Amino acid sequence: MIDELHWCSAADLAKAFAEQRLSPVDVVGHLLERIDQLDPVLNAFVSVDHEGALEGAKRAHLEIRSGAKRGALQGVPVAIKDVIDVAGMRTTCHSRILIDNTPETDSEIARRLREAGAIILGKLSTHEFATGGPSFDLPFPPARNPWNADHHPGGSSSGAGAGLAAGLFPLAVGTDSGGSIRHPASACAVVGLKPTYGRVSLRGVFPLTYSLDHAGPMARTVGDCALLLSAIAGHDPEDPASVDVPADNFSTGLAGGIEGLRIGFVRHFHEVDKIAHPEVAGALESAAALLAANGAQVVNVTLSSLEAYSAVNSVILRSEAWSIHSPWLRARPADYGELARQRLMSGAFVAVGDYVVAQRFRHGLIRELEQALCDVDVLLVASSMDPPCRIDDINEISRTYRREAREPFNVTGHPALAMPAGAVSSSGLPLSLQFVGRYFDECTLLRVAAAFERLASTSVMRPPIYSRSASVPR
Amino acid sequence: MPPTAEPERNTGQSLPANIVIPDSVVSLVELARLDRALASFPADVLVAARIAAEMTTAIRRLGNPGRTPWPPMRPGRLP
Repeated sequence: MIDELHWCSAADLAKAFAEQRLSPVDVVGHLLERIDQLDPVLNAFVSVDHEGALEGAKRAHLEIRSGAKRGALQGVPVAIKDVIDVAGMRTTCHSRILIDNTPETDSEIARRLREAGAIILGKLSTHEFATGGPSFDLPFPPARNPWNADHHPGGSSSGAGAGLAAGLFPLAVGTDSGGSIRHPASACAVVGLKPTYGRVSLRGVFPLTYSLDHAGPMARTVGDCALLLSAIAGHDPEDPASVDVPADNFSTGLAGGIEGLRIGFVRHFHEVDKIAHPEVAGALESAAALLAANGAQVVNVTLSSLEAYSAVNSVILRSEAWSIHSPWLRARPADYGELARQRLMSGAFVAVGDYVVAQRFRHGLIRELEQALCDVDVLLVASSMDPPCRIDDINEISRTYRREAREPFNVTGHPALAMPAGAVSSSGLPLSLQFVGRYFDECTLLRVAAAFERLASTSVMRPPIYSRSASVPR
Repeated sequence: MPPTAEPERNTGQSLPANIVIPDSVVSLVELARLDRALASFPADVLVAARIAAEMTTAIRRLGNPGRTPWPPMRPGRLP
């Protein structure tokens, strides 16, 4: 008997649906009730499609009963960051600018999700246009961290991190141009994977930039991330950034273990470039020791400084974002919140020569990382340098947003996965780490992450106040 | 989920009397055609200019990116 439906993994749900031990109608109904109960505090959602989700669940139930197979996510609920188009649902980007924007067609991600049989519950909170930070002057409130609702859940895929950690849904799709999948994964103790650049189509995703944006899976387990990536990855000839490489079944090989693998530990990111909070540094050392004790060879790797990566990411991100937003910033500056207005306008003051210099440095950083990954299978690096901070402390948010090691892999496009480090801080908030893989080798990356998840028992981490089951249908 | 209590749109700011927008920023604002933003949100324009100055300093501090041109020319092959 499956209990605690809201903590069930997507893989377990899909299996239970296929074996007709459970109906998508029961699960979707239960999750919608839980959303109604908890989301007024958490603000994970910008919009919930009660009617559409229940209709989809009924359809999936009937299809399963009749033996019609749709795909690996048949009947499984998923929620989507509100920068990704779903036909008939508003895509607001959490902004007044697009408050009435209802696309008529699905993004490629939504199309693939429907093809796999997933049920889309609704659209998730973000920072305005996936930039800035948590803001209180937007048409929707910012998401809050289920581990402590006074704290920031990370961003910009904030609603995804918050909703997964609170058991509102098992799967979410986020986007990441400077860490926006991996930050909420880190802050909320869930798993977030930024795939290789070009692995997941960005058609129908509102851009923050042209060359740093990635879309990817978020879930409570590594296995569910792999399952979701398998559904949304694949070449899209209509997306100029999409790369024509085979889309693997990323779930195979997860049990492979780490024996014999070489893991490069980039210590200087958190020991020299940005001095991490002692509890974060301690968790990283413990993780490295655990991996080494279980058969991996952990070696030190030195890359360029975080400052170099950050300088390159910032100039490219702000310049490209300005080119996207300049018409609205000129005509409708009052329709942005303060943080996004400031950040997005800053690109107007960057010289084009500096943008080109940043791109030239980027080329060198890519070559450097490629070289490092010739000698090791994956990298172990910090994600956040600090535990999550209070959501109302604008100075601390501003300080900690610069204290991270996620931007390097937007600059280079390598796949990077953030997950719980297996410990919480003395204040009861999640600590995290990050693994980075070779281009298009998400399989090895997921294999290492799955091994660490088993070794450190990270998939059972739950925010204390949400760890008890609500009234659960049996 | 509909917004429960939509916050007021911020319709404008005023700068403290002792703060003056530098001419260099005004020139860039004119080039970028951000006049409306400058009129309504001068403090935000100043913050944006400061962010850009910090980014510019940071990228220039890295020195010379080397002799590799960008974008790399690869005739007959997509980069």
